Amino acid sequence: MIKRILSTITLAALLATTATAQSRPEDDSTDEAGLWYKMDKYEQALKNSGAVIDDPELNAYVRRVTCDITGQEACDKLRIYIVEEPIFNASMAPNGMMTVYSGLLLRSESEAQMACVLGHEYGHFAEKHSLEGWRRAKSTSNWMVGLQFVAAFAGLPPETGQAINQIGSLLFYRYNRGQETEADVIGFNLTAGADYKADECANVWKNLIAENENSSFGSKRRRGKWFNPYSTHPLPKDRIAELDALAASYDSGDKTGRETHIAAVRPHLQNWMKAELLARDFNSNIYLFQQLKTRGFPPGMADYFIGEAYRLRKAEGDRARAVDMWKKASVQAGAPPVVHRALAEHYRKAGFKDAALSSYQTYLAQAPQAEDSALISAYIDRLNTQLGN
Amino acid sequence: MRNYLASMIIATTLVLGACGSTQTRVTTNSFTPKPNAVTMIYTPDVELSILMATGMTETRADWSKAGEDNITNSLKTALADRSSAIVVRDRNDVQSPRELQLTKLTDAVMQTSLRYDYRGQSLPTHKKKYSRSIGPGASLLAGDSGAQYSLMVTARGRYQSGGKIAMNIAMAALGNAPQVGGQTVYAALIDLESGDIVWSNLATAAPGQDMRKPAQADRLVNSLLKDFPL
Repeated sequence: MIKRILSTITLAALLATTATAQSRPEDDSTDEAGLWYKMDKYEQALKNSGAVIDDPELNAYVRRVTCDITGQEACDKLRIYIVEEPIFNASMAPNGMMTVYSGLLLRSESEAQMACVLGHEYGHFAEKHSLEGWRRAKSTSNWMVGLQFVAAFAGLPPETGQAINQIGSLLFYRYNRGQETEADVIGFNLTAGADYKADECANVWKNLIAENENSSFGSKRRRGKWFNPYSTHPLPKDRIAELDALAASYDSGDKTGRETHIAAVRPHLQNWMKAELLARDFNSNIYLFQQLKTRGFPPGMADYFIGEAYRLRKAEGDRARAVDMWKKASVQAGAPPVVHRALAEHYRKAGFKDAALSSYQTYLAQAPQAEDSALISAYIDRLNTQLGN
Repeated sequence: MRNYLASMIIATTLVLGACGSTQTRVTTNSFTPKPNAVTMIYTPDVELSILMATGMTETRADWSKAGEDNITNSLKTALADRSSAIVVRDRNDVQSPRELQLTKLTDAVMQTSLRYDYRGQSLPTHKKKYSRSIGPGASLLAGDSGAQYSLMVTARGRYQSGGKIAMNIAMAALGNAPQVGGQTVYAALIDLESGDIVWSNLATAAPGQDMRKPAQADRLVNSLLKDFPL
């Protein structure tokens, strides 16, 4: 049954080859105008939120890739906000407000992978999924209430009403998953249609599964393994199967845009990797950071943050592992100056005064404007005195 | 039967509760209006929705926009011949990050006051004392208008659909409490020098005070401003 639904949706989406641009509803009394009104207010609040990354180059990059796949006319209807949030996600509002999380940009290996997700989000907009979902929610709750009345007047036990509620919400979740699959297909079509390599869409989910499997948390390792009728999205493995099947039938281009993607993310790498540590899922962090190193990000930066993950994880032997990673990082390309401060702190606490002094000095030499420069200078003075320099 | 009676009692109190009322709060003990003051009125933040039979609410853009326009006009009329001159600032024109942050902060302080001073809900981190102020940075809100005060207004409301009314009758028959709509307007006057909320009021719309209609919005705003100090 599920297979049949998928193929019907696939066919429908394949037929809709040209992206349709959505316009502001003209009649203010409609449910659609109500959704736009609400989202316009939300957007006004988001616009100047501290979480929005306003770096013009990064914004131009994300916009360029989005417009390449949707076409200019449709793209003109979109407003894209990049939000600093260390989570793999993006969202689309019915009024054309697209929100892209920094965690998505960090995890995408290429323009193509990012395009698949942004194309998916655009698909929700083009197909008015929010509006359809809202209408479906209204009609579902209508018949649920109707049936509950019938049950109540017929004198059926209260459990009947609860069962009706359960069935209604399960059907609604199934409907939502259908929309997600439809958006996946649209994302694929737009991405492959712009000559990007077609199998990149499935890779997005393969990477996410691998990251989750390396999580410190059992709940995350188990996530998406089995079908959950209350899930809003299809299982990643089902999405992979669907996207792989689409890719197999497609005469694919070979563009990936790996280098341009890495170059666009590079200026934000340190901030975003630091933010990743906040979720305290250190095993998953270590896995992701190792991956980033293999994708062409500077090894010095990746190794420093792998060291940070060990330091924060505090498992048996992690202290030594952290110091090893920092030492490795400090002699590699792209290491942030703070790696020398991390090493200096370690040496100072361990009583290696010469090494501590030298590392603090390197840190200050590389980051003379650092916020903690006064404190570090004081450490340097004290160490100099202690060493009789 | 007992259920039925109880629901009728609840219904009656809710219906009575839906009649108009206002609850003025003056937060400074000795408020002396500044002479020849200018008050900047921000266009109100309005969201009106329909309460459907199932209990879901759906925002109505047309009603909300009408409410915005009507309340703005009613405020202008009501404050036209007072001691303080007025200037109107369109909320949608606020673009500078600093002004936006201050309007967001004002909204946050107002919502806190609404919870604590009006709805009797406790505050998570304050026992009794808390500041009803956005701080002296408020002076930035004045811009080049020369305003000494700013008046911020928010309105929220739900209107029952025909289906909901029928539904409530059926619910009452089954012995359940009905779910009714209602509209409120909440206003705060901020002293732009100190940032303090110096006056605020919450008005609940009575029958004949429907903000979607200009003449009725006048009546609602008049009851909102009945103790307005300027």
